[in-house]
Amino acid sequence: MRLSILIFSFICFASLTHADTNTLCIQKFLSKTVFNPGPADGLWGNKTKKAINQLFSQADEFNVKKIEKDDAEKICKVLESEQNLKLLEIGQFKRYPIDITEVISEEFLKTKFDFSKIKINDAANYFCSFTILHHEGFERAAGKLQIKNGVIKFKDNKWFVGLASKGSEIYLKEEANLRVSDIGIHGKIPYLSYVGKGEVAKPVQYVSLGHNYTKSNANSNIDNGIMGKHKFLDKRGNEASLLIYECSDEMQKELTYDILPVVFKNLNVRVKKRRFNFQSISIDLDGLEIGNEKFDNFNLVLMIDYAEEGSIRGLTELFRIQIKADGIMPEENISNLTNCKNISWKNLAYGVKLQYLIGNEFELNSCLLRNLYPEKRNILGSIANSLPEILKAGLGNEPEQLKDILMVLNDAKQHEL
Amino acid sequence: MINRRHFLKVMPPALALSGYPVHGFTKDAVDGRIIIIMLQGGMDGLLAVPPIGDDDLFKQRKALVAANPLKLNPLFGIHPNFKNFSRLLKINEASIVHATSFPYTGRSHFEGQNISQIGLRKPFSVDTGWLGRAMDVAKITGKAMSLDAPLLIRGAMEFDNFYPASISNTSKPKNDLLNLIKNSHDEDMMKTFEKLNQSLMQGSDELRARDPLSLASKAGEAMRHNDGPRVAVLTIPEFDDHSSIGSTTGHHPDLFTLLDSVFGQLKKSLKETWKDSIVLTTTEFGRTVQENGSEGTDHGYGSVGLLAGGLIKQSSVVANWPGLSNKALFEKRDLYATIDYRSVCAACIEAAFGLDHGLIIDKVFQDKNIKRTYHHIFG
Repeated sequence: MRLSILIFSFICFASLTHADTNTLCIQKFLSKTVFNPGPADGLWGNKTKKAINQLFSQADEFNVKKIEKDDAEKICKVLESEQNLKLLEIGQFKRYPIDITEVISEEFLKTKFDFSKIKINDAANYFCSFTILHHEGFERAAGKLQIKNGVIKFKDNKWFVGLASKGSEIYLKEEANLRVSDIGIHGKIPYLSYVGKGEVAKPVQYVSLGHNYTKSNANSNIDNGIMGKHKFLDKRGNEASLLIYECSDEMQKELTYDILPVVFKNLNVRVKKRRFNFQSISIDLDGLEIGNEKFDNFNLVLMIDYAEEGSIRGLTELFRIQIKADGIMPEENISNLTNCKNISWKNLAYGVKLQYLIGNEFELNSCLLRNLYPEKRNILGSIANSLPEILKAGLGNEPEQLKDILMVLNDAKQHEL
Repeated sequence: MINRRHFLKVMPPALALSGYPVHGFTKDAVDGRIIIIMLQGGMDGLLAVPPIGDDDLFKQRKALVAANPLKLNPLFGIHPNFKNFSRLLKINEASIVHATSFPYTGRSHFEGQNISQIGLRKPFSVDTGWLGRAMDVAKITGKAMSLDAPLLIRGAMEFDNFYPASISNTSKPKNDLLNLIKNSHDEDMMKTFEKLNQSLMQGSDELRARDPLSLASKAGEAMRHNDGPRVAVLTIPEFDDHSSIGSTTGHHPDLFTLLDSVFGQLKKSLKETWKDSIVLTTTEFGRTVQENGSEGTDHGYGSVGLLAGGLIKQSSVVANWPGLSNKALFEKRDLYATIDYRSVCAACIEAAFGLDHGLIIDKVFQDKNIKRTYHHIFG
């Protein structure tokens, strides 16, 4: 009996000596949620550790990684701050993330792949940008992807394949089946072919990756096997590639295609005389604001290459907006422009000019946009979107000229997909 | 003589569209769309979304578990007939709420269906529906197009209902009648009815479609326009399977296929508007955990809610899983509903109509104890 009392007293004493007010604070908070920490005794045990980690794994916005006993004070402060109401709300229900690894339908069989002999990098968790490059170098598709425990999930994406572009964003989202290892990316993806006007739709190809990986030279601490060119062969044996870049731990805000309001104080529009099939319009804008970006003086040139009469391309072969590259893209990216078609940029004696294409060659723009500063990527698209207002403001006194140019612009836009 | 159960079985699928923006009134209208699929008769949530990681499932149910559910995560799977819905889960455009129900344990279809539509604790206590009241609060008004406007979308605001009845030798509603209805309203309302009349005259035959897939297609086509309805209610009846419910194949699995096709059709026909939409199922109650002697299940309590739409950013199963051991069951027979499904409906209203949670639980559900699930479903 005496021995039992002694042991009991020892256990109680030991417990008291290890009890911690911060752990107790965590346990009391958890007891108001569905994450059970066990008894509120101030002792850091497995139940408390599991429960607090489960709660924060659901609270993405707090960005708290694995919590250990040493973090108890810091966590307790969060739980006692004004943020506790948000956490209390999150803690009322459990979320079980979806992780479907099985084949869902017959369609999915087209990208079925045997990963059993590949050591998947389960620790790879990133958000990245990607582009799929045709063997001649220009872009076939671009967008965002997420790498979760080594599995690649495609997010927002866009194919630039003419008539086949419509509704194509679903292919990579639903059918791609890729995993990351330390030596590259493995698996199969759908690969769409360009369909021009009057052409018959071509069947989707399913191509395998994992044969050839070239790591990006860019300084990066991202794991091996992710950032760089992952080459694959199309059905004709041509070498195309999936390029993965700009990976980070955080979800990146999609800026590429955002259209922002364009505001300016003054402008001057000069319509040059048409020579053969070419005409240009120079526009100087003072006090230009595009979203949060401000420019004192900004010059852009509209370059119109008229099409021959009766052309299936409509009124224009090309309709371009040309601006200076200065301040819009990092200098080191200029060499990357060689991957884009030369009509989307020009290296002239007085500097590099970027050309945003409206209409027939619209799909080439993402190649250009990818190389701009992220915060500047929506400038060209926003200007293109505001062109009618800019032209109306600048050519208000020349209604006939304005009408003609707007007609050409609208015609070019109709050839966008 | 037709009995109540038989009446429930023969009720046809139906579609009601509501919340047409009225000119000059809803110029600042929210872009969100809500589509409710009412699963009448009580869907078996354990057959649809089996908790395959809970060993007690296989102790309680000997036959009524599909042979090859698709594994969603260590705890939950989904019936293999939900192919479209599984794809939506995979691309983060769908979520599931499990062990949930409207606050009703009486196991009567009539009371349960009433509560699932009025969204209050006491059946038959009001003559408006929770979605109708939500539209009132969000100031989304307009006319409904339906044979019988479901209680769910009836609000306190002025409400008219019109559906061209299928009378023999009348392929289209009579012009005189339509004009009479139009002329009985003023200004903005008159314009709205003119628009409705035009759409009825153009597509009256399509409106008579009665199968859920055609109705889903029609709903999507109407809702994807800027001035289209913000709300649709589809019903799929016949879930009241007391015998031979089926496991991998059979009547309930066939209904899963139908429901799955409706999800697929809605995504297809809503097109770009899908990104602003949320589709959610409702059912009056779940079914018993154990199968009965005739390989069916009887009226129960907790079930499952399926949600899909572009407003969802991250797929998951939301559940405070109560377990399936005898001790964990409600009245020793039913899945315990640990989530009030009204909190899910409230989150959908918040996401689609942009209303504050506090306002929704006060004005729509009149119950301040309803917790917020917005974060869990819409992230």
